[in-house]
Amino acid sequence: VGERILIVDDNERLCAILREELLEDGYEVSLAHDGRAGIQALKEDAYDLVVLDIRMPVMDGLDALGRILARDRHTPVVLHTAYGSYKDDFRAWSADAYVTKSTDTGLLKTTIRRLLDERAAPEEDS
Amino acid sequence: MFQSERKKARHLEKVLQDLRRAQERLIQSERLAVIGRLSAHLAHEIRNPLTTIGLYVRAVRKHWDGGDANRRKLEVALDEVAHLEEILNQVLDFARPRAPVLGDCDPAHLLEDIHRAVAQEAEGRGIRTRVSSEYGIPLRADVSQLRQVLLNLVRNALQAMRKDGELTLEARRSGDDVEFRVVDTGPGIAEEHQARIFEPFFTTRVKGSGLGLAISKKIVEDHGGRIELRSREGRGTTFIITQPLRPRATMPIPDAEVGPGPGG
Repeated sequence: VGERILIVDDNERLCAILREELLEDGYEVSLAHDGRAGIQALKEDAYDLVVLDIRMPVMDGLDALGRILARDRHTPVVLHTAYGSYKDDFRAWSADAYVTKSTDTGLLKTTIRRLLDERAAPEEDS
Repeated sequence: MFQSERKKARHLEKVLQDLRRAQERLIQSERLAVIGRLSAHLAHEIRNPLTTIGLYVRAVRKHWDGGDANRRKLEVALDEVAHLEEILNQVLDFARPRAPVLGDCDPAHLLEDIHRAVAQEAEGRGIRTRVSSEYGIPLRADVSQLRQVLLNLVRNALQAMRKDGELTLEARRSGDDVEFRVVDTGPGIAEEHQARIFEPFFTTRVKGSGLGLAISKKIVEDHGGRIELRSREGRGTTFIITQPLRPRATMPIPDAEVGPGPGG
């Protein structure tokens, strides 16, 4: 495996423990703590998937999402948020998936796996 | 002349009264709107640290080597975190209900799915379960919302029953309606509680948020249906959901789990 995931979230403690869990699952994980830092990280390195929080300082996740999609429409983005009503904002609709933050990371992990597999599938066919 | 002045004054008095009432109603609805925004904001502020707490306790438990007694304390902490998460979800559901997104829904499959989801819990409590459904009932409904309602009723029923209880899930067609029944053999609901059981924040359980049945009622009514309760103390409880096979179309909103992909 060893697929590369970028977590963009201003909650550093949450990032650290999510990173630990995803490392245990065999992913490589990098962290950024606001939208602008996330975009910078994506410019500097290639990632297979982005986990993106919404409310962050400097640049929020929805602004960052627009800029990520403008640069690259192939890297899947999972919005990972504590908001219950993020879908009220149409900008959120262009994400590949939404996962509400939860102490059960099962849904986040299966969503990440599914998106990575879907992304890999066309290459396997050819 | 004097008479007509008095009449005018009385009329103005009445207009003023109406205006005051309208103003009160506006203040009240503004207050409710603020409370809605406040609860959504609070839920967000609480969910972040709560998620962090839960993930750290889980990580500690995963690598635990400090004995069974202390492991059980971690389990209690996680149990309480899960309970808080459930309350947050319910408050958000209640503060910001969404319109049903209708799709084809097979009641027999839905009941089997719910049965599978709770089978282990029922067995652990020593409760027998039974599903009885007609196949091929052509229902249009928001499957995830209907599942939420039925799961809520089923979990309530399981919690109400003691060992050797029996839970029955039924679905049958009745003309242009479908009727779901969740039947338990628990202690029943006291008559003085029955009238209030669907009120928000009313609960008979120590750990209940009092929102589960209020949300269920809202969802069923959004589908153009109704939810009723038949219960006698000592004789168990039956919840009956009756809803039209073809509810009137509602405004479509984006799918609950996955949005349109990039470029889609």
